[in-house]
Amino acid sequence: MTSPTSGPSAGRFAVHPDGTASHGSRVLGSVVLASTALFLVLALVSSPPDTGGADAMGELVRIMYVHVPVANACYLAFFVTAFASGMYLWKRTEGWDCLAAASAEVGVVFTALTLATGSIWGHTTWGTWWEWDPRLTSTALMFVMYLGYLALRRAIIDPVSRAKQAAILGLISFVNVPIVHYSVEWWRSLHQQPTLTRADPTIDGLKLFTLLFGIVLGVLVYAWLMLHRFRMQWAEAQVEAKGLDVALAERRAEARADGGLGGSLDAGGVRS
Amino acid sequence: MIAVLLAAGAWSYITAAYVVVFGTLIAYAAWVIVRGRRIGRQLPPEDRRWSQ
Repeated sequence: MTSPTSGPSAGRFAVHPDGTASHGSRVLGSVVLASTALFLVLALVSSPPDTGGADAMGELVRIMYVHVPVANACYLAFFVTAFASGMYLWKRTEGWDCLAAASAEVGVVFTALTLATGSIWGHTTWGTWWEWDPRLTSTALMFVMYLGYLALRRAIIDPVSRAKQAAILGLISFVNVPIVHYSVEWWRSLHQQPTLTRADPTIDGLKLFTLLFGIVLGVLVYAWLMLHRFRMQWAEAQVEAKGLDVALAERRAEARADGGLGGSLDAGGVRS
Repeated sequence: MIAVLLAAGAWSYITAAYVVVFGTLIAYAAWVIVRGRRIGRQLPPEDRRWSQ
């Protein structure tokens, strides 16, 4: 085994020989770390408290700088899952299935963070950790649906059947995403209206810049996580395929050894 | 005085939100990297296209 710091990638961006990192992911990771440091300074130090209007949030506006980016990242993740699911049903190639699975898991993490930060924010502004409000309820439903997607992937052993059924569920689950986003406009909701997309944005100046910077950082973090998670998914699929090949070869050897007991195994390992 | 107390209360919520977000993301990233290495060891180098 080679040293983690040897080989063509040695140097500042050296990668572990067995891992999922590459030179590109190391560069992206460095950009994410630097951007995170800058974001924390902007969000917690430089950005002023919200003081405008009767609905001013004061210092609590700083929670919005993490809440909105993680919510935006989970929308992106589930869009990628739906797109990759559609591509899998069209092309039937393993890579699209791996992309859909990886993005769904990353999206579930971001959705959990959306619910957690929203709950913290809600407790300070509404005085309750949870309300059966349209936005909160539809987000919780989205979380459960994608947990179900991940559970389905674990429940089916056959890779082809699993990929097909997961792709169908990945497309169906995405129907809920626009419902989550527009729930604050379609129904009466405790949750505030969109901050950025409305005609008269409620924040400006450094607060607006910090929020936009946070959204970009959320996308970068998603991209970095996806690079690693997709490669992990791909590696798992290769290991699983090799395991199936070995099991099939062993089964065929057993059948040959049985000899007179009759029959042979077809390509699917079924005795004929 | 009341404003200071309210602001102090707000900062505990802000701290909680940032710790939850960055703590969770760091823990998840660490899990992905460690598991990726564990699975990568089971693959020959030619199957790890990204490392070539």
